[in-house]
Amino acid sequence: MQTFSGNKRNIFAILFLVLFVLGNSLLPGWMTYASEAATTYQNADTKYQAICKDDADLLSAAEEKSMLEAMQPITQYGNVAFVSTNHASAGTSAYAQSEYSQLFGTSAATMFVIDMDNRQIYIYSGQEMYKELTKSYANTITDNVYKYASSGDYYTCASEAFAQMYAVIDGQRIAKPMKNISNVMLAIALAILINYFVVRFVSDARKPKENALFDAMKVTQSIKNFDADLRYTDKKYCPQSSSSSSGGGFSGGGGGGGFSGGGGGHSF
Amino acid sequence: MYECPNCSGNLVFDIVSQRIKCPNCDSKFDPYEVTNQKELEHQDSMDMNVFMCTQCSGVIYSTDDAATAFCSYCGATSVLTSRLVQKKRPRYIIPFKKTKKDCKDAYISLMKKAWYAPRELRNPKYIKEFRGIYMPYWIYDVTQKGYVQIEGKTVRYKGDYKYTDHYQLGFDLDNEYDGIAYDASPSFADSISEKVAPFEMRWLKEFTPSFLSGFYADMADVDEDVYGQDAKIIAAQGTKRQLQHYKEIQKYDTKITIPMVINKCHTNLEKIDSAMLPVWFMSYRNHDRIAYAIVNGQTGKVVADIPVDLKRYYMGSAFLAVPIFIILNLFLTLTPKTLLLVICFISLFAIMLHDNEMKQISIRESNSDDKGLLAYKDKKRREKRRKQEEALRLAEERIRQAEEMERAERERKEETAVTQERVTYKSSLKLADTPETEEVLRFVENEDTPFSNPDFVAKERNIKPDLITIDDVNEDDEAQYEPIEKNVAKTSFVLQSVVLVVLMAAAVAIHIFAPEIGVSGYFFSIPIVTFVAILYGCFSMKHGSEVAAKKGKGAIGAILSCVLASGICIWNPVQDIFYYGAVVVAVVMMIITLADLIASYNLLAMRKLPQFERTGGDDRADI
Repeated sequence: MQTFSGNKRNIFAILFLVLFVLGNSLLPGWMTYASEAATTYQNADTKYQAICKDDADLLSAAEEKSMLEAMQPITQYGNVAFVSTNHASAGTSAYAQSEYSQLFGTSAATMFVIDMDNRQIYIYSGQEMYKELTKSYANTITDNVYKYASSGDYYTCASEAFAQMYAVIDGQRIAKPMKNISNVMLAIALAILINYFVVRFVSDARKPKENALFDAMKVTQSIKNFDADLRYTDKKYCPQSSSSSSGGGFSGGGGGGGFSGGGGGHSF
Repeated sequence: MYECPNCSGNLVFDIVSQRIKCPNCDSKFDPYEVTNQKELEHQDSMDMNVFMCTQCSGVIYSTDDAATAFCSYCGATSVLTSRLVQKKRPRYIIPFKKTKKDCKDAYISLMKKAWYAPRELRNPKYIKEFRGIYMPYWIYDVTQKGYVQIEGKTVRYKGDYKYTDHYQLGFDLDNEYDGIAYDASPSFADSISEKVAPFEMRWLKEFTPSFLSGFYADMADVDEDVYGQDAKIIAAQGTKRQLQHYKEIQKYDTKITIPMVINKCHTNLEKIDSAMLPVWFMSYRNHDRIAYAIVNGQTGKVVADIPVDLKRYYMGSAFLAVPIFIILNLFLTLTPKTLLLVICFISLFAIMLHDNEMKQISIRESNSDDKGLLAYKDKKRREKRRKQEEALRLAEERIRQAEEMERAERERKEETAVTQERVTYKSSLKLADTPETEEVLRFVENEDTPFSNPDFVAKERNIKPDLITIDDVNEDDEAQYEPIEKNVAKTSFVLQSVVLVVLMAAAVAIHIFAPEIGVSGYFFSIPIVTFVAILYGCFSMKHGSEVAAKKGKGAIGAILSCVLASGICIWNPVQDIFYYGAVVVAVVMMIITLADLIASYNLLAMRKLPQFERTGGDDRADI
């Protein structure tokens, strides 16, 4: 019986493994598995991951699943993560940077962070993803979605952010109402200011240069019988070693490419 | 007026041929051959018709007796009164080389670049009013001749010691600067004349009045010594450059400065001559302001006050805003707080520009930049004072004479009365006619002498002679002769710059390092910029208050813009709407200051209507 029961356990284990493998291969689109720390998805084609790490417990299980769905399109281009936290004493930006390196190392990824400690939403991107989701876009997107976070609808906030992030990466346009308003105001102010300088430059006749003045008059100059008479000499102790340094210097060059990343955010 | 020997037509100077020409029969004559009988009699003087504007007292002279249609200096029409005067001849003249057509072409070329100039300035009818005027100039010849000694040093190192050899550098200097020109007319602002310069002095010719035929002229009213020091400075600049480029001197470390050159290089005003130099002159009057356009009649260089048509300016700004917006949208996304900081910086910049403009207007309005006009006014003031002192002296003399006459009359009457009284007194007391009796009587009389009555002098003092009341000293009148420094902003530019740099550096440093302590950088940087803006705004308002037309309120918009930005930053609301709302309001307020900046520019581009305070010509220049 013991052997039978032991075999039975082995059979169940093997069966589970087979089913797992089969399931994994039969469901080609995505698969999730729950863990206490994160919910992840891996794009089978690109091998890029989507991670939902809701440490602040802002989303329900169903919302987490939906969130992974919302992040899924971005995995065509790189890794993506949703991160929430209650503890970011070093600031949202530093926290996002730290989480990024923990989750993705130096690979291309983008991350949407909800920092409940500082009440800030933040988009942090690295490597190739940062070329698309620049700080400017991060600011625009967080600017567009912060109002959802303010009203406590974190799921909508994040999913809308991911939708806009995907739109940017995919080359589509996103609404930038605030950016447009501010740039209109800035453009008006700058136009008035620049025009002022144009007016001053065009209207202000210049005084003639010294050369022109002397060319216009009759000038004769002559110096003769120059002599130099040495009157006295000062002597001052001035050790050479302290006055200059010599010898070749060291110049070091950086090797290899560095990590490029950055982001922008908005308080809520 | 010069008549053609062939047809009696009115001869005029022909610029193209540089000869005197008869427009009727096309005969041409050498200017030096054309003369009239009076000129032969008076070699040092010439008859000129002087036209004086009844509005600004500006004068303009002509050999022609036809009345001028308008005043070139204030733009007034048909208000010129004329009379014939005899004026001292200048020594030299540079005849017009550029024709009126050349002048118009040069002006039109300039106006093509002035996009925002009022349409009237391009109007052919207006451009037609260019008038050829010979302006009086003082021509200074400066020499620097003699043995010059300056100090120089060389440095060498030997072991651990630095040796500095101090030398006395000596040389014979023989420099001449002939033809340093400064305008001698108070009607011709220095700010224009120094820009329309230079005139090429090699074309100077001996003056003869026939050159003026067909043109107008102004006469020298500014004393010849006014620009003497300026001429020396010009010469010193030339010599400084000469010494700095002299190879032998270059071997030594020397400190060659303008004052040093003037003092050590035997700088002397060798000769001062008067000359007439040609300019084409046009004025544009707009209400109580006037703008001038001047073309150098020899070189064709154009100098013009170009005001701005505000409507065109704002339309131009709107067009310019479009590409700027596109560029900003392509490359710039600002967070609301950063946007507020940017607005604050632009506001601060606008305030600084405003302050600078107010200072310039203040200088222009007080004519502090016109040495010739100030010297002329000072001369007039001194003449006025001298006349007033003379009038007072005459009045005092009259009072003294009246007092003496009155005293003599009273003495005579009193003497008669005393004699009569004494006779009665002596007879009543039966006193003897002795010296002792006389002494007693004198004592009694002095106790109540009629001549010691203080009312007498007071009564006489109340006489107000006409001379005093007519030309009394007016305090307000005095104010306009205050020295330059009183009208120019006195706040130290260096101090302002240091404060600005320190505060800006502090703002940037705090903005960068504040997040390290968990505080937003904007919380400090925007208020600091606001503080600087308020400081500058105060300076600007102070300088603006010196400009009568401005009252110094132009910077308030930009100051409020910064204050609003600071308030929002300190409040730190979450919703963007507050930030963007503040940005919109702040930009609008900043635009108010920018609008004032542009409107003020028109004060700077145009000038106050002139008031030359002439009273029938200049006595010094008359023969």
